[in-house]
Amino acid sequence: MKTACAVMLALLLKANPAWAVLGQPLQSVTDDQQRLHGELRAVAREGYAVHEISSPEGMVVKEYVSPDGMVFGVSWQGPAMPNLPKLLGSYFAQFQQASQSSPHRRGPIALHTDQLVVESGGHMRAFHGRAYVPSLMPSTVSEAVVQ
Amino acid sequence: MTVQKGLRAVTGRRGYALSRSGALPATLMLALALTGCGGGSSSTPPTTPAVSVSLSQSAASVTLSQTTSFTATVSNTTNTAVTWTLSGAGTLDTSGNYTAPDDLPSNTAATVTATSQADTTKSASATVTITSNEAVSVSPSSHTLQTGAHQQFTATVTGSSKDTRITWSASSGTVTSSGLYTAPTTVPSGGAATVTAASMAAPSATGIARVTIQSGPVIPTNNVASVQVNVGPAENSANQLFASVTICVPGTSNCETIPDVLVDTGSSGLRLFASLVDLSLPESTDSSGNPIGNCAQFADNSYMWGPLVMADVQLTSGSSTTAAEKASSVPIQVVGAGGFPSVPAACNTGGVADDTVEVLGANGILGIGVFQQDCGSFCATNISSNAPFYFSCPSSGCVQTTVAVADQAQNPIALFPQDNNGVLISLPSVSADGAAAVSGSLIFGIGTQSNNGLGSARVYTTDDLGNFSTTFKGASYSMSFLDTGSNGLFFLDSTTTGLPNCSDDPGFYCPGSTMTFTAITVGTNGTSAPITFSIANADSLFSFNNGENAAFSNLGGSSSQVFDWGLPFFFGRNVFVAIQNESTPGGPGPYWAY
Repeated sequence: MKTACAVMLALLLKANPAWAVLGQPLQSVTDDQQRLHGELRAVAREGYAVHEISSPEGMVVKEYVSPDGMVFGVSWQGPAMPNLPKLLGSYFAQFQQASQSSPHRRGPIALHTDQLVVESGGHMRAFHGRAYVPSLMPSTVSEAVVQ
Repeated sequence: MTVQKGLRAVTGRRGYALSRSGALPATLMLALALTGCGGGSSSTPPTTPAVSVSLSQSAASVTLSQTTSFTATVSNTTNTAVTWTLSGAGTLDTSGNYTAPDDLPSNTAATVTATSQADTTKSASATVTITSNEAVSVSPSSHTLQTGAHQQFTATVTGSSKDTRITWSASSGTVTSSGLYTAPTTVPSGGAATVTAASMAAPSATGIARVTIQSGPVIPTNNVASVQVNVGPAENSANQLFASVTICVPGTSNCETIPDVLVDTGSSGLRLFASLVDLSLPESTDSSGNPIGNCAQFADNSYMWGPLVMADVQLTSGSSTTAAEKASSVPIQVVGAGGFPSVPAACNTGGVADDTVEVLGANGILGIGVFQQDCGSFCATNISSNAPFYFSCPSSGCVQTTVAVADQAQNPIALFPQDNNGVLISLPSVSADGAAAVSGSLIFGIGTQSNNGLGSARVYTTDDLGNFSTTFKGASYSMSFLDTGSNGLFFLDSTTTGLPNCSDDPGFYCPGSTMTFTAITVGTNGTSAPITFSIANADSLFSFNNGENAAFSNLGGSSSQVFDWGLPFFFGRNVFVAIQNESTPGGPGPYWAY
């Protein structure tokens, strides 16, 4: 965790939150605006920004954005699984392959490669997880910030 | 004169003769009056004296089944023959022998009449009163019983009646036609019951026994279900805990038992594959009368989809002396039901359908975690794509809906009549090399019977999401939990733990040699205790014993940034799972105790 994470900007938007896709530029995605009806809070930290959407039922999705506007990480927490295909975008296929390649495994899914990290865990009513693309991480930012 | 309601011929008990009711007595009176006139008028030619009839008894009292004899004397004629008739109960033969009935009639008066055959206008009658000397006694005459206990009573009947049958009754509890009494299950007001034996011949003849009823142990409930860890129904399972579940059409004995259902403390609700459910179970419907579709999601991004149906759910066996743990009318999910609308997009977020025994490695999921329902109060009032548990499913397709808490998929333990505040999971230790199979117990209830007390176990409360903390190498992981449905100790990642991932099965850890760690579990109530555990090479574990082992105490893998204490945590421990809002000797749930 970086120290001295100064809050440079805090936006509180009541409606129409936009959320983005891992590995894609942050932009408003109108298709997704109906997905999470909650509060959007954007916090700039040293070397990156976090866009956090909180919905009343406890779903929290965070997007970690590099200074050049790329989403290098996402995390989630909530009563149900998020829409992973939309959240992970082109990386979802790798996660899906990993989740089906472990015949003995019953429990969380953790995919750790040099190109992609996806962790999906928790239990009914309390799921959580994170994903990030190491190659997209700003050089000054630790992977541990994605949580 | 006796009022006659009818005349019976002597030749048949129920035949009728001389039915001119009322005519004969008037004629008789006239005849008797004439008899008293002596010579009568002098102008009248001398006449033969009138025929007269008299009886040896003008009144008689006869007890049940007994006989009394009448003799008729006919005067002033050589033809002394008479015809005997009876009005009322009993029988009368052609010789004037009257026999009382075996059972006391409602009208205890009868009339015996002898009519002269020489002059049928002449007769004599006698009144018969039918009486009873029946008496009944009951043995034992007094007794003390515990609630629900049995006692055989015997009745002795004395009296003249040939009918010695008895009718039994009880003021509280039940009694059979042969006198076997069963005390009520609760002490009646006054603390006693009366058992009565009544003569069928004379119902007012009764004998009674007084039974003092004390509260005793109610019929004990068998709260122990056997569970196993083995390769399971798909012969591919590792560290999966299986129970047998009996389901019944609600309120009936039409039941079936489904073995090898995965015991999962990480979810709530019973979910069975449709292909294994032979019973025709009533569908749950919403306020519009449409079937309710239920979506259960899991951390591996798999899901179960299907309708809710109603079933009685039984998790232990009963007998003549023990009751089973059985919950009535439980909403359960039938997964993969044919003809049901397909899974909504909100449920299937790119995941894998858990809809076959092969995929799940089990015949269904028995969710007995810390919550009573899969969703709870949120889904009773809110519709959100972020909590897609319930759908209204007309044949045109499913739309998300609210479902009352009581109508949601239920942890069946919470609906047991007793032992319903949680469960003790007791599994034996497993050696470092693993085992092909182990057996243990689910013991229902916490502190409700002699076998499920907390003892020295410590209570670790969870937050309202069912999580507590685990501290490892100085860092705290707040979304940690215990979960029999996770088949390993899944914690953190390779970088943090120093454990390499397996090459064949990268979800598991494959250290060169077994490594031992200590982590501290911390309840939200502050209770904490170190847990020491080992992680072995998963590839080696799976290949040992020709790959036939299915239980592993030291199987682990990477996870998200938490400790998911899966089934290995439970080996060699007694772990209590207390349900949210249920009271227990360790305080209200939700908590784990060990």
